[in-house]
Amino acid sequence: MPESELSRARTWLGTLVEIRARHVRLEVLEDALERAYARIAQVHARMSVHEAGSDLRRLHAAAPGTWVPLAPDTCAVLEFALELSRRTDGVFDPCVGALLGLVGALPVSAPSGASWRDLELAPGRARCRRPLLLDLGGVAKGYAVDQALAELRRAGCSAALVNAGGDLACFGPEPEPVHVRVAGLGLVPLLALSAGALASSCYAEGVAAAGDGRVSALIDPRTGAPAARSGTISVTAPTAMSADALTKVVALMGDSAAPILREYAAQAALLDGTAGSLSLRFLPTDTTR
Amino acid sequence: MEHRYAWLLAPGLILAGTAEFAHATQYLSVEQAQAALFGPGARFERTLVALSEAQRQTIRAVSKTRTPLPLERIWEVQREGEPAGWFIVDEVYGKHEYITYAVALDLEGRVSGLEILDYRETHGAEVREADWRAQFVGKAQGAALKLEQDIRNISGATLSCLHLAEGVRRVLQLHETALKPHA
Repeated sequence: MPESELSRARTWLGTLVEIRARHVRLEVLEDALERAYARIAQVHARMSVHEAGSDLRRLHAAAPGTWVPLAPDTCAVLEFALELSRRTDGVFDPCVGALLGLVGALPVSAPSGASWRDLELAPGRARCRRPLLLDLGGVAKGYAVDQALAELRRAGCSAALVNAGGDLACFGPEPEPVHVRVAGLGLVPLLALSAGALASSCYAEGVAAAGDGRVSALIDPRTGAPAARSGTISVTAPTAMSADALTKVVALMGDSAAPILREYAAQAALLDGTAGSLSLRFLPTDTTR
Repeated sequence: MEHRYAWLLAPGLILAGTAEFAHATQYLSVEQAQAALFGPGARFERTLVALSEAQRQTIRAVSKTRTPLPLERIWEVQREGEPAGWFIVDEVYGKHEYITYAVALDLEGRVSGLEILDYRETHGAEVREADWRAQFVGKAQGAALKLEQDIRNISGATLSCLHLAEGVRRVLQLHETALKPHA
């Protein structure tokens, strides 16, 4: 049966979000793409630190100890972020890190000393034990990608791919070749992805470029200082949310991230390049496929 | 959730040269973007706009965008005989990215929609694209993979959103300076 294919690119989540999908019925496909973008818009509205009225803004504005009701999306992302914080013993911490290195104004000045342990989650709500600033950044972006893809699957698409500024996830009968940028080398074909997600961070001198022109320093919560990191880290995982978050875990923990990767059924490729040679390592190191 | 994949590279690969090749995606034609942003039944009439030097300066000053002003790609939009806004096709570029996009303005000159029409990336390359690709073909394991296809999926951030934001800022000033009906 002949299928229609559509692809669109729109700006959301501080980056360009590309959606591509196939379906036997064009009108269903068009509707599915709009639903997928609408889902992304919802996640963006809830979790953007820049949107007035977002769950994040309300959480930041609440006095310590006050319960703040949150949308299910926000709860799902916070639950994931806090669980990963627990498993990495705070190496991943949405309360510390990327925020401190952001260039450009934040709505409030960042307090020091707060960590993921100061955020308490209950069904449908959260409260802070002391003032803190959350940057859900890539985790929210990955979640939005997963949600958009779920809409396309629900609509009956035979194949679909969502790429939000390099955080991508797909499903379909054919593998999608994914290229990554390696500084000094260019675009390198890294992964053939049939189902699941891939996220990549390119670091140069400890700084990662974000899709909206901001640069974020890779701050190690254990030291509070920028962590030196160079090269490209790509993580493939079942969901875009976990793939994105795990790139930071690998960047900060290096080889000791291997057990965490296993826990999340993820694998990482660490690439570095200069003209003429590519240095590539996998984590866990016994990765063969 | 399902997770099926195969790495295309193995450690120890020695590569010839550096390569970032041109790749392009067209998402929408101008006509498709018009329909997407204003719905079927809208009418588009191209408007020619001439600017004084002072007006150009004002518009230029608000944004970093340095592509030519989209003076020949402005359409006034009408629905059922009534003005409905403007449809403007503009271009922005970054170090390597070149984006053609369309922005819909409502009657108040606010952005009511934005669609990317074309996205192109161009880079210098020291080796021929075929030679670069040949280094990988054959190392791809598992699933059948057509590496000779255009590059469709890139993982890793780009600066597109920033350039687009600068472009839109300039378009909004263009509206304020030259399109908005003044009392």
